[in-house]
Amino acid sequence: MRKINLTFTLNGKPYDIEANPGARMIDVIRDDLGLTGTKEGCSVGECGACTVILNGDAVASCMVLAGSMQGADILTIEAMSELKLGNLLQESFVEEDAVQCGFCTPGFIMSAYALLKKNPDATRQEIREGVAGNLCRCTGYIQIVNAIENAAHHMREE
Amino acid sequence: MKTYTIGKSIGRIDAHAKVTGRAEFGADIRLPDLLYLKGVYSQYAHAKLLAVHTQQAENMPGVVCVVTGQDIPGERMIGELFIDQYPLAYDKVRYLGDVIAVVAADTQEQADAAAKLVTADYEPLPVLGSPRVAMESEYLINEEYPGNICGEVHMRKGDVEKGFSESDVVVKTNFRSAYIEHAYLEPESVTVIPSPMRPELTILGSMQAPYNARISLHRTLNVPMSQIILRPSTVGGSFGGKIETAEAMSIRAGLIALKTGRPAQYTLTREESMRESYKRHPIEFEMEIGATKDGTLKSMRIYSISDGGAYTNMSPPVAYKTATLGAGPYRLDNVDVTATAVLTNNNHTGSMRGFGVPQALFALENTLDQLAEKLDMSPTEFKRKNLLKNNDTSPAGHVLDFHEVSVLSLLEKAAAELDFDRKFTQYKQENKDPNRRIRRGVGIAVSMRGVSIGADGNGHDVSRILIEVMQDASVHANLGLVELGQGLRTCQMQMVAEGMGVNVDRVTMGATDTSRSPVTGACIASRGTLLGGGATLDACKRVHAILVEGLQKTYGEDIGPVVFENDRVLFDDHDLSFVEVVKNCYGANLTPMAVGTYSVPITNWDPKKGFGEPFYTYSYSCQAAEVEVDLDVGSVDVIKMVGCHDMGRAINPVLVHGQIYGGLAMAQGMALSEDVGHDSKTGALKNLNFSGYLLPTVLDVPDTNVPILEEHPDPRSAFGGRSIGEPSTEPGAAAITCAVNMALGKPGMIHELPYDLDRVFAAAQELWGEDDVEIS
Repeated sequence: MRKINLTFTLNGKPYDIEANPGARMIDVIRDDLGLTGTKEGCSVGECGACTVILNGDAVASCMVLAGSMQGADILTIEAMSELKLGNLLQESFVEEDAVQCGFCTPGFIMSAYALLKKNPDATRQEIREGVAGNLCRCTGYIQIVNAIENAAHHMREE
Repeated sequence: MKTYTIGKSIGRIDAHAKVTGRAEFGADIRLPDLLYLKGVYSQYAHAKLLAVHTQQAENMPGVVCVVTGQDIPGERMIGELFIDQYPLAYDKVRYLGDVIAVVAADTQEQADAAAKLVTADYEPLPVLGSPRVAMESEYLINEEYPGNICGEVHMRKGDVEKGFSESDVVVKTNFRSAYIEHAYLEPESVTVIPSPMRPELTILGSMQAPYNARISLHRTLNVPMSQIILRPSTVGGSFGGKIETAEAMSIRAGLIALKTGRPAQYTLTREESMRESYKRHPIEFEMEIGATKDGTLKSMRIYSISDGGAYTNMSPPVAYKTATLGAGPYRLDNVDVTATAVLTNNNHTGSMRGFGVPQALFALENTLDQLAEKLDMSPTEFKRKNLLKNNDTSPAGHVLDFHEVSVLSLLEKAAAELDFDRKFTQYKQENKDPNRRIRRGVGIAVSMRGVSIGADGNGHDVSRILIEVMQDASVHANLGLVELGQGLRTCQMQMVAEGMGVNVDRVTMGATDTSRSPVTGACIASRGTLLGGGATLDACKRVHAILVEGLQKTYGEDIGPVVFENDRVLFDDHDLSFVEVVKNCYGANLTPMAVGTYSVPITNWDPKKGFGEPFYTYSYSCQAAEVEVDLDVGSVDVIKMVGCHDMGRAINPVLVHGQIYGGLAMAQGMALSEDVGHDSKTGALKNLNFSGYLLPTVLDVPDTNVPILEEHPDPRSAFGGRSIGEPSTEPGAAAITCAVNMALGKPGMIHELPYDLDRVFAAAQELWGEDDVEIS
């Protein structure tokens, strides 16, 4: 099969790669680039574990074809430690006990990042709606919402 | 007892790796020369398997080999307690999740494409799609089980007939629970790496019970146990679910790794995971409960039939818990419970958080609410009168004189937090108005959870840990109990620090590795805290003895008692640092390393009579729920839940809270939305992904849920603690369903889980259809 050429920025770095035209964005990220922090939980866009940020929007990378990466600016969990809000979210998830098995955690952090970038003053209800596309089977969600609220609070203070 | 580390909410040790995406889960493993696998599933739920044709698949590009049941060199079946499961079907298929072949290729795409070309010859047999059909069928799913009955457990005390004759009110009910999927967010993935030196396999990936898998790999692949090394990766949730399925997968991948000499990775898609993995038992209950008019429980008869599916798996021990714990924490002189498990051609059913008890409590508490209403009592009034107290005898016959029986206190706290009594009275009155189309209800449910496997495994319930103190006085603990996300290894680390009398910063929990950690049974049955703690305390004593031996060599035989506490070592008039004492020990050429062992004491249980002490100790719980029911839509909103629990001592209170929040949400799913939707004609599941299998989302779970801890350190547990994993979800579905039925105005109204839109709407129409509404 003929490969397609893709140029994009991912986690602040420029990439110029070849990919299968039928590949999904998650395949490029996990398999071609080896960034395994993005998780595959359902492959149908229901669980949110594969959430990444594509041009500022949180998207389920299992539902997006690789071609959509062309010219795009993409963020994955691997970049979060280097970004102020990302780091705040990570620390806040640890502090608020928002992590149990951890499989859904990167997806939640990415959804929260996209939300707070767009709406730094998000209310608790807006936060809940912002992560409604992410499933967690372990925590019961409250600690996750606490963590995001807490990170937003810290971000506003700084 | 003064403690230094346990009881503190120290941060979980794996959190940072998980928030950065660096924690390595099974499917994240990348290795050179890795093979990718794809399983081929049976086309029939019940058939003789005559031949499997693999040639076409083998000829496909990138395909390295295809294996079938014929290739297994050793025993063909696995099973922890009952050996009857094919990891690769051999001569018969028993459900649609049976795997008949596995393709190994250089890429996943190649394996997927080739797997479609595997065909098989079958001789179809009738599908026994429900327990009642299977019990009456002339066909046996497994020749060893006449009537397809694979387990029957009794619990009996007193004389139920006499009890009913002495009762003023008797209610009879039927209830049925649904097929529930564990729905861990991470689908199963195993990677098997062969050694270039000898026929040795290292198995990584998502597995809850590595020592069980070691036995099965050894038996099926003819490899000595010393050459089977399991090192579970970060596990993305399990809830009892990553045992037998992950084991079967590791055998298939192991077979390929041995054959090819290449590492093999086998990851299930969500659909495959749902199709193949075992589930929570659907159970039917017939209940009959009697009480005198003052509200005293007199007699209880429970008959349950659970769907065990294609393989025995954990059905008999699940039935044991349904039988011995299904009567709840009530004072009761006459009780007769029979829990039967039946093989069918459905997905097999096995361990899932709660293990046969959440279903029983759903049936029990809804029946008791009916009884209470007939007695003109509220659920809490009825419970106050009948809940067990200190020194009472449990329904099974266990005299509870060895720890605090706190369930009544838990009830009061949960009821107070929800404002249950006031709301119950108010909503009951409100709900009499037929024009009120959105109704409110409250429900409350209680449980006593037997800790660990119980007398069902009398004499076999053992755990071990290896603790080594290194030359720099760091402490390395090797424990085979797997971290599943619950925080077990953080809690175990706290217990090691407490037991060793050292600062927690000295302690490292080695990654679970069966070649390094001694066999310890599985992290199941809410046994980690009791069993891990017991082994830890024993190991600490043994290591201390070695350190003391060193001190005696230096300071003389008569140094007297030595105390290890808070990183100091005290004896005579000496007050040494732990570091000095370790240096001294190594200086004397001694080795401060020991294996600790703990066995749960044998309890006095008579399985024939079904009477006695079914468990060594118990945890108590009360969960309460408030709901709103829209009669015209059938929707249920959970407004608030309270989980009040006595887990002895909370080793790490924040992590205990985490278990309770999560347990409440899981209970909500069981009560209201989760059902794999099985077709009893074909044995097929309808909902193979989260588009149809509905987990509660953040918008469904109330933001106002409240965990409450009541601690009474258990004298029967080394550090006073008991696990919270199962108790935290156990009574929740009962509480929610009781609340829904209260809102509907008829206790016990809906007999079948889940209480989804269809069922609630139908019940609301039946009770409060528009025709009956008076237009005012």
